[in-house]
Amino acid sequence: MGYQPHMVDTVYRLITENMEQVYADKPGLRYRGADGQIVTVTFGAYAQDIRRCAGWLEEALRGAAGRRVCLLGHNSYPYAVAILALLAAETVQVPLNQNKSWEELAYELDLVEPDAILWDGADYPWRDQLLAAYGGRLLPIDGYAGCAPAALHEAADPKALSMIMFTSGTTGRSKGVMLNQWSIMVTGRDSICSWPPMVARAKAMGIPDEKFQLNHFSTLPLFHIAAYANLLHWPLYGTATNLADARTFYRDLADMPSESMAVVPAIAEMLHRDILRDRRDKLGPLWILMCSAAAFPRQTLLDLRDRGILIVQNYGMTETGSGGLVNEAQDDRHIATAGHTIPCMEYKLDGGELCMKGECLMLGYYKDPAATAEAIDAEGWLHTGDLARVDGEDFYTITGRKKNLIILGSGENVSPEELEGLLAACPAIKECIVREMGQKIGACICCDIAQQEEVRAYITELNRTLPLYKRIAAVEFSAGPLPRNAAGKLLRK
Amino acid sequence: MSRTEILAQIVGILEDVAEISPDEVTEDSVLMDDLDLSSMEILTIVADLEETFGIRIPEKELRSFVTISDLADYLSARVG
Repeated sequence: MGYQPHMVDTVYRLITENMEQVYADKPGLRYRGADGQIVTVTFGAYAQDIRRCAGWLEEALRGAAGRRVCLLGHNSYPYAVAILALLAAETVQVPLNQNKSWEELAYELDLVEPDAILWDGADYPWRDQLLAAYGGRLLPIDGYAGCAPAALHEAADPKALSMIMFTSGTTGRSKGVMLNQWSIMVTGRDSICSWPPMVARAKAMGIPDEKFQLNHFSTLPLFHIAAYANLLHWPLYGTATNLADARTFYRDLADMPSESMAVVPAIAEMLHRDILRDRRDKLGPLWILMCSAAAFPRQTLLDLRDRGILIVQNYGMTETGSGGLVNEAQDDRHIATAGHTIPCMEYKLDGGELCMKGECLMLGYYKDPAATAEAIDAEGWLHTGDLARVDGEDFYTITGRKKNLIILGSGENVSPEELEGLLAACPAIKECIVREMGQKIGACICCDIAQQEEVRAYITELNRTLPLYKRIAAVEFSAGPLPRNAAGKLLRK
Repeated sequence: MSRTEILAQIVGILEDVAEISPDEVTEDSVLMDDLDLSSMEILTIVADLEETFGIRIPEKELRSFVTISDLADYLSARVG
């Protein structure tokens, strides 16, 4: 049972078969408790809490099916329980990014019109505004404790809307991606190609079938599609999830030994540095990196591979329920590619742009048919905005971006126009372009030389108002006007 | 603890986490610009500072940390 996954295609079956039967006694989830000690929950106990939460929601919402419920909180065990319970109870869940400003959150909350908001009550900068605007609809995310486990049933339609996940729009306003449980479960099924290399490596290490147990470390936030999908995928394989916090990365890793880790480029670079500096002991038994969210430097991947790390990459978007391309190849030619196709999707290159359609695709953008029509054409192809080429072995390489969106090493997507709008408020700035500079956000600014210090000071103050990932990290000055194309538009490259 | 000692601790952590030479760090250094730190590295530094000084830095304070001086000011007010 160690090497053999148990593949199912609905959340109901995941809970009642994988968690409650096949892997019931195996560790399902670990986290740091309030007393600082690590808590290990078996899949069986995890499923019981999911049932408690589903029953509690049914009562608290006076009927849960179809209700829109937002999730606001740090990664935590109750958050994971709530995600699965909300799916099992057939609600429409909306995991929100708690790092956003109140203005952004208020826009998203207003759009969703939630029936309830499950939150962890932490000391967020927007806490007072949330209490004032939505106090009557707030529920504690761990409110299920002490409730009786409820009966669950298969979803009437696993392809019905079950979650809305916000993603950065190119014009600054976020868009709500509508997904169903089906798209995420199908992605899990079709990404199984990354499993055999892990099993082969484990066998080569001499680990017998009955002792094979992976533990997967994740600091990625649960409102992010990659972490969210992992939460639903790992129980297919009986793999435990070690829920960690980016702020206590190394302490969590030391206390929750993990063979596998979900990484964005910024984390991969930290691990790369640790391994190259002979600090491998800081990483414990780690030997698998699940890479996603942005492009990874090829040399980093090669160095890690050469030091015994198995590299698995996943190319996906929120709009595809995390599905897209998978890369388990370790050879020099393919290791840095985005990956090869998976069965549930069709692919084509349209003028160099990667387009996909199939079962993983979103249902559309919430309350935004115009944006939906822009993203998915009349024939059902999702235009990813990524430029790609494909080789003779069906491996795709991303060569650039068609859409005007910055994808950072942290995996966050940022709209340049939004930041340009904020910079434009500085009187000394004549014109500006915000673009990616070495996986960070940079601004090219045209202003008088005498006013450069004033602009720098303005940006420093502006950065104080922005979440870490959105800060402008580099500034280039130009005394003359910025380059424009023939149509008079500022050039972004 | 004096501000100078606090700064020395910060500089030591920067060297450990991101291999930044103490010579490159001044009070005015901007974390993401001058020191080229990623948001992940800043979080690691904050965790190390919490451990070193035995304090918990609330989430909402993170936004105000733009320069080395911001970190030193915050820590001086609490452990100085």
